Formats: sequence, structure tokens, C-alpha cells
Amino acid sequence: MINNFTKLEPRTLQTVNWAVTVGSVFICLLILPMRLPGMELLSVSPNWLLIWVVAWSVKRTGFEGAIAGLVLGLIQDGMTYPDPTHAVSLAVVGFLTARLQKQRYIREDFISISLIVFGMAILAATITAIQFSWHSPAASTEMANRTLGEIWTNHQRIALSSAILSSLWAPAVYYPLNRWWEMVETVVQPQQNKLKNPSF
Amino acid sequence: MYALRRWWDRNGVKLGLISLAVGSALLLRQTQGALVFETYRWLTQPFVRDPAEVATQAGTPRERELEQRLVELESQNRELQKLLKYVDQRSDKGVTAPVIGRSSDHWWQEIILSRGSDDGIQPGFIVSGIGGIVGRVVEVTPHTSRVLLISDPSSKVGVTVSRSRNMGYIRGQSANRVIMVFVDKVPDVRKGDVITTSALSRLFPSGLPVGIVESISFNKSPAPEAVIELSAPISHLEWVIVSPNPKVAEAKAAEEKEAAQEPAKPFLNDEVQPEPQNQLTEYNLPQESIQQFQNRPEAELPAIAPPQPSASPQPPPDPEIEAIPPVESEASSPVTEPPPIEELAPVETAPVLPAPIEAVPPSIDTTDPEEGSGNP
Repeated sequence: MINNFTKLEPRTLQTVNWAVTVGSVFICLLILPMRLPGMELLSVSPNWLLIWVVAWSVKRTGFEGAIAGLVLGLIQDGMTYPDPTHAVSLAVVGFLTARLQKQRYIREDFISISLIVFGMAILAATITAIQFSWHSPAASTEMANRTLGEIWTNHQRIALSSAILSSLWAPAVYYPLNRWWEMVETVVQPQQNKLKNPSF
Repeated sequence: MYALRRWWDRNGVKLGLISLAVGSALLLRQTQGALVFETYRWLTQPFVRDPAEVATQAGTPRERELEQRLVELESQNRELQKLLKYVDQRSDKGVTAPVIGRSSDHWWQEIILSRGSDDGIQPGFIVSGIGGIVGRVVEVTPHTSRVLLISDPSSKVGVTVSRSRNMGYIRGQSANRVIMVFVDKVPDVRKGDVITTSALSRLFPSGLPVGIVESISFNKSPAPEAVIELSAPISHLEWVIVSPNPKVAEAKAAEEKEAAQEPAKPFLNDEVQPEPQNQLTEYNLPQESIQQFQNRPEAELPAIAPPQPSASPQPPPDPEIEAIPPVESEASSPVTEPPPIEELAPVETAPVLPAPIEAVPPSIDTTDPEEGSGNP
């Protein structure tokens, strides 16, 4: 099946590539409200959008990672509450994952991706908890009800369970997406090089 | 210019894609993820079970007996209310809705229902499960609605102990337990007491069952607290009932009314106001005596607490008198001299709030003996 795609025109392949990317985001969004057996620990589910952002940013630049985090964060804001925004934590995760220079320091396999996701999930939960504590004495009615103690007790539970679950589920998102992007790169890159240095 | 052109050639597509992505994300954010939720609902539709199936499953003979007794008591209650000419604004209309999802975030406790604005659901509607209230609707799309659960730390609901009418509010603890914070320093509450929504709650109508007291700690610093076990199984809800909220409609009407009149009004006044007026008509206080009471010189002020021989010939006790001035002072403030009213205000603002609470017990006293006599 992948061979069929390699025969496509580069432009068509790029379009299909974008469709696959957007489709994978959409699937992640659809899984968010779902609680299937094995997807819940202390009533916390994996952070699918964070896994996607990590999978996207691992082989891209910091800017691309941050933009992806921003976009997914804005969408998640719409699906829950925009205050405090999810865009900050996901953008930071995207940027840092891209800056890890994984190829240089860590061997590429599922374990390392899981490790990155584990760390990033804890980081994301911490950023959100800081956002909550920052706002907690403010006038915003819905957030003012959370006391600092509650926020940080919740943070422990959320950070640990979401980190464990997300790192276990990370390969399910990373593996197919990575295969696809690698394939697209192998097809598009030589052709682009050919276009850049045409041999007359 | 050439450099700019070259930069555009290289990055134009990228820039376009980025703005497209950010734009569509903002659009999704503005529409509260309606597209995602509608698709989600469409996908989960085949897996939703029939409510009749669930209803027949839950029903031991004991439960059925209790249900039948409840129906009997409800109809009896309705008859008695009719006799008393009691006006019930609550309508029993409700939409049964399957729960198709949970919160898309770890920090908020929410459920997603498979019924939306097409079925008449609006933000602010009350959601109850088997056993008691569950939460209220915060967002609706044509076919789905998002419900903020009462177990969420951000939802604060005014509740009362149904036995002793002690007031307080509950705070979610993100599980099947909530914390009730009392208003009184020494509340009359025991383990096993039933907790219902109070009449002072601005989001929920009064008298809806919430849960049962599990443990009490009287030595919490600002006010005593109790752990309440929610009676609805919040963590595994399958079907819920969504019903219109009379409080929200009232609040809207009051807001419109307020907007039409002058804006400056104290908090809770629109809810408390009817009570003093009723008392005023009930006791038939002559207008002159009330004004006399207000126009007294400052020297007599300390004599408010003990019964005053000189200025007040009227029989009713202090609370009733104290409940009057807020209504009266607004009308008569330009006429009377300001100092006495300002002096009165701090003394009286505190008792005004408890007034409706104090007005409740007579009705309890009438119900309690019935319960007592019914048991043996």
C-alpha cells in the first residue's frame, strides 16, 4: 500500500500527507472524551494531544513544534475551558521536544519516545498547575474556587497518572505517524533535491 | 525586494499553512469544539444502549416497592399542596440523555451527553442521575451538551442539612466525595444526614437530593466541614435526566428587571426581598410606627436589643422589625436624616440574611412529628 503512495506526484503526495496529518489530529481529538478500559488510571486518561505534539516535534524545528502545540492547545481550549489556556503547556512541550536533539543524544526507539512523553506530561501538568495557582486569587469566578492546596494535590495525581498512561500509549500514536512521515520524506526529498539542482 | 521575494518563495506556503492551521484552531475554539463533539456523537451512536433496557436492569423488588411508595407519597404531597394553594414553579419535564463521554481534560470534571439544543437543552439546565443531582449544563451543540459535575472543584453549590436546615455549600473533591462547608459555627449535623440543595443556591432549585454525610470535622478553622458522599454514582453514569432550571429563568427575568430599573442593588436582595414584605403584611405594622422606629434619635440606639418601652408599642419581636428597614430605608432615605440609618445598617445587615432561614423551621416542625409518628 505504501508503494502505491510512493508512485504519486509529489504535490498530490503532499496533499495526502496534510490530510493524514490533520486526520490523525482529529482522531486524537475524538479519543479525548472517550474512556475505554485500559485508558484510565485514577480517572485520568492519556494526554493524546501531548503524545501527538511530541510525535510531531521529535524530528522538526522548535518553531514548528511550538506552532503545533499552540494549534492543538487552542482546539482543546474550545473542547473544555479556555481559562487557563492549554496552548501554553503544549507549545512549550512542542518547542522543548524539538530542541532535545534526540537524534544526537538518544537512540531512536519506542522506549526513548515513551521517556520523552513521560517527562513532557509531567512538565505540561506542572505548567497548568502553575497557571491555575497564578489565577486562583483572581476575580475569575470559576477558578477562584480552587485553593492552592487542592490544585497541587490534584497536580500530583494528574501528573503521575497522565505521565504513566501517556508514555504507555505513546507508541500507538508515534509508530504509524512516524512511518508515514518517514515514507513521505524519502519520496519527496530526492525529488525536491532534483528540482533544486536540475541537471541540464 | 529580491530578498523578500525569495523569502516569500521559500516560506510562503509554510506561512499559509500555519495561518490556516491556527485559523481553523481558533474557529474550533470559538465554536466550543462543536464539530468534534458532533462527530464524536455520530460515532458513538451505535454503542448507546436503550434507556428501557437499563431501567429494567436496575430494579430489585425492594427498589420497586420503594418506587411505588414514592409515587404514592408524591401524589399525596401534590394533593396537600393543592389544598394549601402552594405554587410550585418546578416542572417535571425532563429529557433523558445518554452519557457518551467524559471531560477532554484532566483538570475539569465533566460529562458529555448525546442530547443538545435540538432537544431543547440550554446552558444552565440541571442534570440528575439515579440518586440525586449530578451537575449542570454549561455548553450545548445541536446534538450534544457538556455538563460540569458537582464533583468539580470549581462548582460551588449551596446546600442544607435536610433534618436541621443548617446551611452551607459544597466544594468538589474530584471524586465521588464533596466537602460541605457550614455557615454556622456549631451546626446540628450527624453522620448519615441527608443533604439537599438549599433555597439560597443561585444555580439549583431547592430540595434536590445531593448526598449523605459521611464524616464531620468540627475543628476546621474558618467553619466546620463535613465529607459528603454523593448519592448519584458520578464515576459510572450511563443515563441522566436533564431538566429545565427555574432559577436560571428567574435570574434572567430579575436581571432584565434590574436593567430596566436602577442598577445599584445589594447582592441577594432580589431573593431576600419578598420575605420582609410578606412579614410586613403578615404583622400589619402601621407605617407610622415603622417610621417612628427609624427616625429615633441616636441616643436611643443602644436600646434596640432589649425591648424598648418608649418608641415601639408594637408586639412583634426584633427579627421582624430588623427585617423591615432595608426595604423601607431605600424608599425613605431622602426624607429621613442619614445618621440613624447608617448606624442601623451594620447592626441589621447581618440578621437580614438569616431571616429566611429562621422563617423555615416552622414548616420543618410540622413535618418532623409526621415522620416521627410514621416510623412506629
